Amino acid sequence: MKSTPCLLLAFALAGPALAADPETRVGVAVLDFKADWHTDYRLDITHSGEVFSALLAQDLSVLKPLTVVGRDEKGANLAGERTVGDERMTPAAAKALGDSLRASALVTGQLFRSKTQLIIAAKVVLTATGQTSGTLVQGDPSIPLADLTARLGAQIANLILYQADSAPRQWKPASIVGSGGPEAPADDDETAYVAAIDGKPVADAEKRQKEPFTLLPGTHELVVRGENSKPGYSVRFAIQALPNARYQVHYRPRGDGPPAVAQAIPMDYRPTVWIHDLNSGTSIRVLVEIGTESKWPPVVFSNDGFEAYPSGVLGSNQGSPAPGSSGGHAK
Amino acid sequence: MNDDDLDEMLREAAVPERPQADWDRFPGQVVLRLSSGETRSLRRRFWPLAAAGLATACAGLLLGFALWHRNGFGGPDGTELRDGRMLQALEAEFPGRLQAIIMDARGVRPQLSASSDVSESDPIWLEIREGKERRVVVTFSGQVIRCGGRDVVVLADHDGQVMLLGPGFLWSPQASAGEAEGVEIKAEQLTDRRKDPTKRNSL
Repeated sequence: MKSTPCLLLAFALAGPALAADPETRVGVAVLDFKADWHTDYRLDITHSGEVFSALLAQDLSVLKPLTVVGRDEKGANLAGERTVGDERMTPAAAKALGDSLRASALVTGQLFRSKTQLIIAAKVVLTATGQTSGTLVQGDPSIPLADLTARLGAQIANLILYQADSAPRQWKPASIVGSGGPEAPADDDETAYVAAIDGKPVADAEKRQKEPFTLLPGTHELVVRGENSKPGYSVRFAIQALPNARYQVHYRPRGDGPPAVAQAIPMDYRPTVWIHDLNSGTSIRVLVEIGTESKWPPVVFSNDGFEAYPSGVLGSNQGSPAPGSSGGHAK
Repeated sequence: MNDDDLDEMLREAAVPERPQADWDRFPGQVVLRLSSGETRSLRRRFWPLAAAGLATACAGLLLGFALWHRNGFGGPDGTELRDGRMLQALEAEFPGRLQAIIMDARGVRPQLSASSDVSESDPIWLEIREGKERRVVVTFSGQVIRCGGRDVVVLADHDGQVMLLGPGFLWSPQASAGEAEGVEIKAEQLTDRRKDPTKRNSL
């Protein structure tokens, strides 16, 4: 669960990913979670409750038919100080809040840190009926916070669907594989592989680049390393893994990736990393690139354009860097 | 004198006139008689009613005293609380207002909402031990009870997993944190007890 502060901050900044899908029906507002200073200290995140609620909102937004509402374009909670975390909040107050946010369900909760476990408890209120339920997840420090959040998100989604008399669903995990996977182009001389997932380094990552790794639906932090005959780059960024998606990472030492990449990069000598969705045949949106320490920071391709963040803007004060994310040209 | 002579004499006899003073006293005597007769009638009706009321009050007091001081409602384990009969009765008495039924050393009492805003859900059985104090609470998901010296909300999921959540307080069968670590709690979701009181779960 360490190394997540960068990830969490990135998620909090990633509001545009919450754009509503016209097919979805159930509006969910994620209000701020509570966490005491002790939990903040253990997680090394200031206001970890608020940061976690932004992360949870991101994860819920990929679980159809849910739509996350009640957040501004930066992902901040529009309900402000109001929260269903108040034990005495009445059903009428929950309904009024739901009406103001256009939410069918309100979600809040608390983070607890025991000696060995992180426990996250969520409370779910249906605004129309006042029906209230709860669920929790827990895990030791070896379990990434991203995975705990994704699990909690799925549990919350099914609570909402159950209370709304809809059938429970299972959202299948996504997978990600390196550029040398079975569907790699024959003339591809690049090498790109997943070096770390959610702060956990992948053992023998380069040798395992053809092996798909599982990503629970939701937001995850990846460290991708790209190489060819020259020294390569490591880049760390966050992606929103859609249910049942199959992703493949790609790298070019220069900006000669997909046509859109080549057209948009003004300096074609910069390396490029992007992620390809093998199911849809498109490059997926990368939420934000979080810090690299290279002379020429790589450009991360996104459906919405390019989001290149020079080294040091987001990368230097975000807790301990993930393995492989620093070092620039050093292999 | 034979009978015929006697009858003849009585027919011819005149009624003696009353003195005027008698007629002057007569209305007052009538009123006095009527007043004293009404009082006696009222007294005759009051005493049976009073006796019945007193007997009812005594019976109620005795019943209340017995319920207040017995170890549990329906037995030491509060079985009548658990099988849904009391829940059903109180919900009928207070529709939409019953938040919880609490049984402790002081007896059994309902916890009611000020308005009819308690949403319907399956009841939850809680047995809470804090130090030497033991109490049983039957409540619903989303309701607030006192536990660990604070207000906590009781929450359940669709699989019947129960947890108690409050400021710095989390209890669930899987994990506890904060002040809940000093409280012993057992919980069970009672499915459809109100609909079929004959169904009973074993804890």
